Amino acid sequence: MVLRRRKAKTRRPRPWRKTAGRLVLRAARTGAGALLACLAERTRARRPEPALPKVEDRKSPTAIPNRHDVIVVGAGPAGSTAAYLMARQGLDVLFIERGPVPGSKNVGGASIAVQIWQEVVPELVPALFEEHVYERILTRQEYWVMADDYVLSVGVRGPGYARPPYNRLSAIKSHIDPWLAGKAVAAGATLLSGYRVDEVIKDGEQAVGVRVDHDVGGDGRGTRELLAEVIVIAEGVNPIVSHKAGFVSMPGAEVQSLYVKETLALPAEELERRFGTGKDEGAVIGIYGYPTAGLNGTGSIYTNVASVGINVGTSVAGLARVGLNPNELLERVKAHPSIRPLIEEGKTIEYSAHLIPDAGYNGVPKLAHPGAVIIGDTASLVNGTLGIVPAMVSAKAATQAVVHAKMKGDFSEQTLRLYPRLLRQTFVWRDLRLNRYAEDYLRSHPHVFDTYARVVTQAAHEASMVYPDTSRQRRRRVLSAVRKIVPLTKVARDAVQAAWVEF
Amino acid sequence: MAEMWPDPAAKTSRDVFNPAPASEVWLKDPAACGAPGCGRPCLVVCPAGVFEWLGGPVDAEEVRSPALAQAGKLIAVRYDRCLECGACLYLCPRENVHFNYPAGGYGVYYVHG
Ligand SMILES: Cc1cc2nc3c(=O)[nH]c(=O)nc-3n(C[C@H](O)[C@H](O)[C@H](O)COP(=O)(O)OP(=O)(O)OC[C@H]3O[C@@H](n4cnc5c(N)ncnc54)[C@H](O)[C@@H]3O)c2cc1C
Ligand code: SF4
Ligand code: SF4
Repeated sequence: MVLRRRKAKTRRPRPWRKTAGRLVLRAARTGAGALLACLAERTRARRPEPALPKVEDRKSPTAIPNRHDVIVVGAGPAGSTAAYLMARQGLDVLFIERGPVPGSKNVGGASIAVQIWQEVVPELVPALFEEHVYERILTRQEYWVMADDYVLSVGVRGPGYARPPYNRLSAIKSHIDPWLAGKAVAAGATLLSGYRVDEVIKDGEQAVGVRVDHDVGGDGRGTRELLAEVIVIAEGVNPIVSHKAGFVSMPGAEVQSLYVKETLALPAEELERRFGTGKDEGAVIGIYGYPTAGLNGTGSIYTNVASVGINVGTSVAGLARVGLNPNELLERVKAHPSIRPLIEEGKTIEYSAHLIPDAGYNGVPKLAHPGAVIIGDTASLVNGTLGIVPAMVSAKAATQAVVHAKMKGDFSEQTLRLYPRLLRQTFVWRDLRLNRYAEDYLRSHPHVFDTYARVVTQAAHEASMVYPDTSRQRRRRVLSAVRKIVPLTKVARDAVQAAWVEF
Repeated sequence: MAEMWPDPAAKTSRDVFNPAPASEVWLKDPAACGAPGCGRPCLVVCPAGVFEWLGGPVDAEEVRSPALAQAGKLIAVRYDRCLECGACLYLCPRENVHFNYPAGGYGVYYVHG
């Protein structure tokens, strides 16, 4: 069985070669960040192309030893960071990914927050630039509150973002995930890619290993048992394995958001012109209101080197309730008068779908179990749509707990509870906790995003119109436009409730 | 003008797939789908149009109408274009959809994810 490609790969233009000299000069002037910048420039020309491995090239699960210190289920940002950090602590780590390569199943906006990587995996940050796994340095960040005809935009931009210390980078998950997994392998972890974990093996209550599905010749399939002292569950948003093991209850349709994403190819220079960014610099636009057609949800637009990604999503329950396919939302966004010019002539090169856990703080399951810990999306550790950072931070806390358990020679739930204790001290947890009422509020007010998106855009529009009237008349005009959308008493009530949950 | 893709199933023609020998998506009790009342969200919400009404394309109104309720197999599952999002795990009010990821190494292959 060989992977079937339906489409020839587009070649990525490499405009950065020309500017390398200029940027190195600039880097030399910037002092502290010079190393990063130099590394970034030096290696831009060496960007790896994603490889498509064949199924038969996989390492066989029968070819690796069946006993390890740690088995990690899933090689997303959570699993690979855990494998990397644990291998660096000298543990014998096996991490297992169901995709033919890590990242081949994953979808993201996505952005990398450099300062947080600096905090969690500082030694990987120079490599991030040196090996140029990101797409563009984001120098334009905007939030668009959209109505049918108008857009109210708030944004920050400027050349400062293009200088170290960098803020955010755009990245493609199917590049960043395999790269991170590669770092774990380089640190000594063993990767078993192309195999699905079917279940956790338990001895009484204690998790002692996993059962992996594998082919036994022809189209026949069998299972192999792999044992470890501790199982790190990082299987992502759908807790199939952890639910079967009794660690996590299945989330409801209200708290799982379905995102669809389309990637459109456009030449690099054209992207820079349309989004008004400098060479090699990129833009991210968060979009609210109109994109989710009256439901609470979000979308975003990112520029990559030679493509633009647009994603939009809302809860599975919301889509089911109004009878909407998420692709309809995506097509509607693409046709919006403010977005269409940005993607015109773009050729669709990929269509993808993925869930984001939306339960927030209230959805966090029990994180430590006898012989197992749960990290990343599986643990509902996502703030809004941002989950890469919480995934990595939870991997770090879990690593400390696992190393401690290994030293004690005790992998009981009691010992592994160090992980949630450490996690609770992180900014990720505090942030999640602060947003806990907001999540509930949005769920009990399923149209609040849309209504107020229309209110603010309409109010902004009215205020922007120049008529021969006094400022008092103008205020009345704005208020009456708002009143057409919602009664003012409701505005006041919602404002009080919203303020209550926010602070 | 960027291309428009009103049909989600057609849109998956842009993706790379390596379909597994056996499907991991199926209806636990296909006949149960004949009973009205669920609203048939599986037909509407799946981002890849994997669940296909065998009577041909139906609009949202029709899907909800009990007139279409019959016994027997009503829905085809085109698992070879499944994007593996897992939404079908949550959307059926009768929990009538079985979903698991395809066997290791198979299924969708995102290159720009
Ligand atoms: C459209 C979209 C945009 C996003 N944008 C951003 C963004 O801009 N910034 C940000 O920080 N976050 C973003 N996120 C969220 C972010 O992608 C996730 O929170 C993050 O990837 C979670 O990491 P994880 O390792 O927990 O899960 P995943 O990345 O989902 O990794 C889980 C891995 O486990 C594997 N796996 C699952 N089951 C098994 C099994 N049984 N056996 C073996 N392997 C298995 C999967 O194939 C996968 O590789 C976005 C998500 C989406 C969908
Ligand atoms: S929602 Fe469930 S019961 Fe209804 S048609 Fe779909 S699978 Fe059948
Ligand atoms: S996993 Fe997603 S794409 Fe696949 S059948 Fe279920 S809803 Fe459709």
